[in-house]
Amino acid sequence: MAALLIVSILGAVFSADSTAIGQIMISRPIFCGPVIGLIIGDIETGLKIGMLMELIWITVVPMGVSLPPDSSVVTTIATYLAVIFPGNIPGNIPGNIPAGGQEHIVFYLLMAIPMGILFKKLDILHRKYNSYFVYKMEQKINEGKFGYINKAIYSSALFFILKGFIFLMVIILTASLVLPGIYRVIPGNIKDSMNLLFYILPAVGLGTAMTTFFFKKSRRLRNEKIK
Amino acid sequence: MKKLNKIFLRSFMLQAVWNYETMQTMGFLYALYPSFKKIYTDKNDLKDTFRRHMDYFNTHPYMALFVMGDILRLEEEYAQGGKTLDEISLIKKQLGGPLAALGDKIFWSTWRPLMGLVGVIGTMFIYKCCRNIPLWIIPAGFLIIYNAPVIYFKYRALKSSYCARTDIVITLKKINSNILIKYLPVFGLTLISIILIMALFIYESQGYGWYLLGGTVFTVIARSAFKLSATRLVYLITLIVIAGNLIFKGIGY
Repeated sequence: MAALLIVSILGAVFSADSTAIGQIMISRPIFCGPVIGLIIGDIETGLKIGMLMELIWITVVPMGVSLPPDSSVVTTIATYLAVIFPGNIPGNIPGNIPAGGQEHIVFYLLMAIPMGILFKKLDILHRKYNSYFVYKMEQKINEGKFGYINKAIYSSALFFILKGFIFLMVIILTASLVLPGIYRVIPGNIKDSMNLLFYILPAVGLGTAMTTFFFKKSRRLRNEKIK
Repeated sequence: MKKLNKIFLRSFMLQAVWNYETMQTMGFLYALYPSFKKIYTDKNDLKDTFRRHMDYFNTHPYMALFVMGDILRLEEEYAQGGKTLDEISLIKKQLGGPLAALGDKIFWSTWRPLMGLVGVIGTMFIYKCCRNIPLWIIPAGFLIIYNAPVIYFKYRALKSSYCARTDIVITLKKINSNILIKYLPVFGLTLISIILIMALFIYESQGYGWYLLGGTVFTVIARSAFKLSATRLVYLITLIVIAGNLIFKGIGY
């Protein structure tokens, strides 16, 4: 439970970096995956997930006013689940073929990716409600209390972190109740193909990066609807 | 330059109150608030300044430092009777868009993916050659390599636009963005090729190399022909691999 708390707080800080505070890229999966892994005791799994995630969403960028799906949330959830509920736990269905050892990473990653898109929707909602601070600021300017600007910035930043914390707590708690059970009854051959996917999925990132760099059609990228 | 340091530190919170009405305005005012307080000691002047700057403003978070330095200089000149109000609001409105486009191109769609690729190469290198290097070097190295040029750029942007005696366009010309935009993608392609070759060497023992090559070709075709997004491609490839495995090997119980 302590691990869950620390991971949620850290994950919330990391996810706030991508849109709200800093933009010093502690929200990139290649950073936050290993760090989360280090905290709960398995840096290697975190690094693997971070690497995969970094490659998969390599060209997803916040162009103009559009918001990208949040990769740090995906990495945090997947790393926590993959480290705490690893692959070959006792109690597997007898006869299950033990696969290559990477299958739990891919399984939790595939389950966590939609959460990044859900978190993006929450972010859009949050940004809509931020208009409240603008109205309040206009009132305070008329009253001559300019110091309110500091208060508005700090409280909004705090809300960003709080939102991420609650989101991560709820999602990780629900997922850790449901997903390990599902993972246990997955047939061996599907686990085998998930292990294979660990080596194939980097191709998605390499291919997307190649098309962006090579064909230079950034306008298409900008119009692309990320779903 | 104490006030510039303060603006620089405060500029990290630029998007904290990002909203769909005034966008980055609140963060912009937050960064400039201490300097404004020093320029306009009279409360009514400060009130007017805040009202003037409460309209919408949006640009790339790194490039915003250019606008901040420029606005600070103009406001100081205005307070001494040099510039007109129209000039200030015009510059703020005109600079935002082009700077955002430039920043998106240089930082978001080139520099960030490139550094991600460098991080991946570092990870693969450690796995392939020297397993005794501690793994935390990857995240720490990524953070430093990404941020060192960015922070240098941000501080220089603030300083040069504040100290500029002439138009900011001339300062912008010095970045030489054309060369960056032209050659960084070539560098990116080189990195991708390095990753592909390294991955093929690593996968050799497991016999997965052809899968990776096939997947890359499939992605390139699917991206350019059908304009599929990366997330959809991930699930599409997952479905294909699972279905193929089930057809050829059965369910495996």
